[in-house]
Amino acid sequence: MSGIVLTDLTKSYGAFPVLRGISLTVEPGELFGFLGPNGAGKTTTIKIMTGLLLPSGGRVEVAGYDVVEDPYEAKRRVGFVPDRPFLYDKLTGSEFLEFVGHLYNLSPATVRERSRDLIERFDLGERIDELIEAYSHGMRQKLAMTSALLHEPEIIIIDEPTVGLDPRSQSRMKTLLSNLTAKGQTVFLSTHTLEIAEALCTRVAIIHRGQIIALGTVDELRREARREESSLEEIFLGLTEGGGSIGEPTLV
Amino acid sequence: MTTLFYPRLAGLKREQRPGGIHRISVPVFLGLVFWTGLYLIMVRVLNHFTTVDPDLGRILAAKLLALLFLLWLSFLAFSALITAVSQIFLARDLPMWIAAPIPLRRLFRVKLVEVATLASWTAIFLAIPVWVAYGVVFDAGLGYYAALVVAVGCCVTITTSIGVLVAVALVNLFPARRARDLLSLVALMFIAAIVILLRAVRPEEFVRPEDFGTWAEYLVSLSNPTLPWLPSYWAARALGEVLGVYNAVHWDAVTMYGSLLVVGAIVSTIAAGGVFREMFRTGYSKSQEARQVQWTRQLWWRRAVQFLARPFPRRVRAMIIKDVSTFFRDPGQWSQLFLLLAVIAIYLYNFRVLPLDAAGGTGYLLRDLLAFLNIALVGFVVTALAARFVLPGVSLEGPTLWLLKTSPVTIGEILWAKFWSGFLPLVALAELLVVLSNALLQTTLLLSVISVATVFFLSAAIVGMAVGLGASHPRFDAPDSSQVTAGYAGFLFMVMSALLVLASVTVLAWPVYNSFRASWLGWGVGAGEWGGIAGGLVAVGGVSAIALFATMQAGSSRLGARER
Repeated sequence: MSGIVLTDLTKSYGAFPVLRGISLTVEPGELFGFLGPNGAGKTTTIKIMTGLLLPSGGRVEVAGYDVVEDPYEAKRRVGFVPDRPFLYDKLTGSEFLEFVGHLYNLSPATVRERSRDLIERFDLGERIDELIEAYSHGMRQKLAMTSALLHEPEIIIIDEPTVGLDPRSQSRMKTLLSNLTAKGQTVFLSTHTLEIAEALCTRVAIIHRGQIIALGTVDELRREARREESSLEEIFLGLTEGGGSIGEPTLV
Repeated sequence: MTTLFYPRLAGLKREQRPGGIHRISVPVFLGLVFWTGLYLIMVRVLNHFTTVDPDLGRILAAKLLALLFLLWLSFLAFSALITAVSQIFLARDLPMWIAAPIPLRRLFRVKLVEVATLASWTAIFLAIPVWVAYGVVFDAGLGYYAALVVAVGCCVTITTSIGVLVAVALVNLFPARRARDLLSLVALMFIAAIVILLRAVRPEEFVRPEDFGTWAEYLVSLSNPTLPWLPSYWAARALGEVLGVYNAVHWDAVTMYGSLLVVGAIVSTIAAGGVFREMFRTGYSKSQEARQVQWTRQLWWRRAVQFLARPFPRRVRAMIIKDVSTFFRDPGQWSQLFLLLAVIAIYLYNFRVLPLDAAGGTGYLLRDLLAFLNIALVGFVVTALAARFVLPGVSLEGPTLWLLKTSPVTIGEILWAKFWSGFLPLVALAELLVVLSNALLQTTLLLSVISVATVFFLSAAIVGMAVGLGASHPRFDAPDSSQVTAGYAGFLFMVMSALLVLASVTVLAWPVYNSFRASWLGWGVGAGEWGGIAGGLVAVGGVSAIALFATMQAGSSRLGARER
């Protein structure tokens, strides 16, 4: 199994550069946190990794496949959960899972079997045969997560995993993410919730103004920032409130 | 007020920006070609009326104007009603508007203008060459065009106001039902109205003078007003009077019918405004009521759809099943199927009442001609349906496109799934129309085969163009499908499709004429004629294939390159 490799990734919207040469490697089985303030380039990076955007320069390898050169093979190995998952309102939850399973070429029997387990894990059983239009935001999020795991991807990319989830679901999500990496699956997590990153992630990267300004384990970041007693939130705020100016990488 | 229009105007502006003048040059050119063609046909018809027999010609011209206005107004009324329901009760931006502190009076004005614009622009665009042809043939002055603007404005205002009023009132009158039930009711009412109108107009009598005792009775029958209590008659009568169609300009009649139109517009607007202010809030609340069990969630339905999609690869099959299921669960979509039923009913009814026997010994000429022109008519029906049902497919996918784009599905597979979901039902309908109308006309086997083959090619090309152009110019921000149809892609599609249909019929016209002539003259259809027909069909098939694959490919490339 391979993880994720970003090499000198750049992206510009017209003349405006959003990503300014991002390079990082996520090892297989790692739970990697991707942090940054609003507009830093997190979503753009994720969109490029999932094939929703084309990069202006550089290279992205996911599970050993270049997402631009070989998008089909890359996508087969990735599961993606966006922060605001728009789903098909007029399908029921189970129909949606069946649809997604078939997109990934799973047999109906496999879809049924895997769905059953995931539906139970996400507590969706009671309402799985209702139309998605009746679901709350949290339920949509859980259904999107379920559908992303259906094809047992090597890499799971999640944008804001706990937005809209109730405390019980948040707790289950954390356990699930830990379990996934224990099984060897790689999780790339973009989040604003720094406690989750601190509690779960093996390593984190902080992106600011299109550049990685910090990369490592939380302890490494503390040491590098000479803030041994600080929380990740304090380190984050310290780096992104002017400390991490463009062209002057702080910790990388 | 201006603020409330801002999102829509800004959206329109943004849609126009990329490509600049080049982006609009093609549709403008194609639109001009369509206008010129329709204009020339109308001028020829009206000149023919007036040159054969001036008195009868004028009566026929006036009758035709009234009939055209009646059809135009029916189209406008139905369009306004459907648009009113979708804009007032189903539009995606409504919750934001209703939550904002906007007075109902202002919301009504905004919705009235929105519905009027969306519901009427196509109808006005199609009718302009007809109105101009009348002006030119009857040598009209500026007064006619000024009166035309007022008459059209009044008709649009009246139909829109009534559309809004009926939509708001019905949602309140049927509290147990949701908006989808309302739409089906509206569609049924429309079918009933069309049948009544057709019976009232009795167009078949225009060409059956022998049914009347004397020529004078025939003229008197033609001169009788058709549905004089409808705004369409007021508009046609006022404009006819300004044109001098009734031998001289009777200003008293112009004033009377013009006043009726203006007063009708004012009264209907005030009435609609009152009903809106009184009933909108409760109606909107009721339209959000709890969901009902739907037959499309039954096992037999799912099995039937799965069975029909079985021949396709798994991924394409999954997308077809998803498209069909979501279509039949969206009232804004499936309720338009009633429109389809209305089209079939009117279509076949017209063929049934055609006075073919009245043409005496030359009836077979008329029969063959009609059967041939029927190919183009079916092509236009498929175009209209594809514009409503197929073209918006990719745009409606907008918010969920992330799912397809991040899964191992190619854009080509997505578009071909949309093609098959649209092509199979539409080609079945088109062939049904052709076969049934040919049976009613009792046409020859040769012409039936030509019709069936041509309609097959055209249906494939038209659906392909709808999918391809819908993907090339998607509107992911459109609140509903009607706005996609009314947008740039819709316009481009309708004009390109009309040109394809006309080009196909033109290509086939000469070989078909040759084979008929040989048959009429008793020579028998020889190898030369067969070769000509085969060549014509190959040409139509080739052009259709190019149109289908080129637009699908362009759609695939443009959608794939789109970064959203």
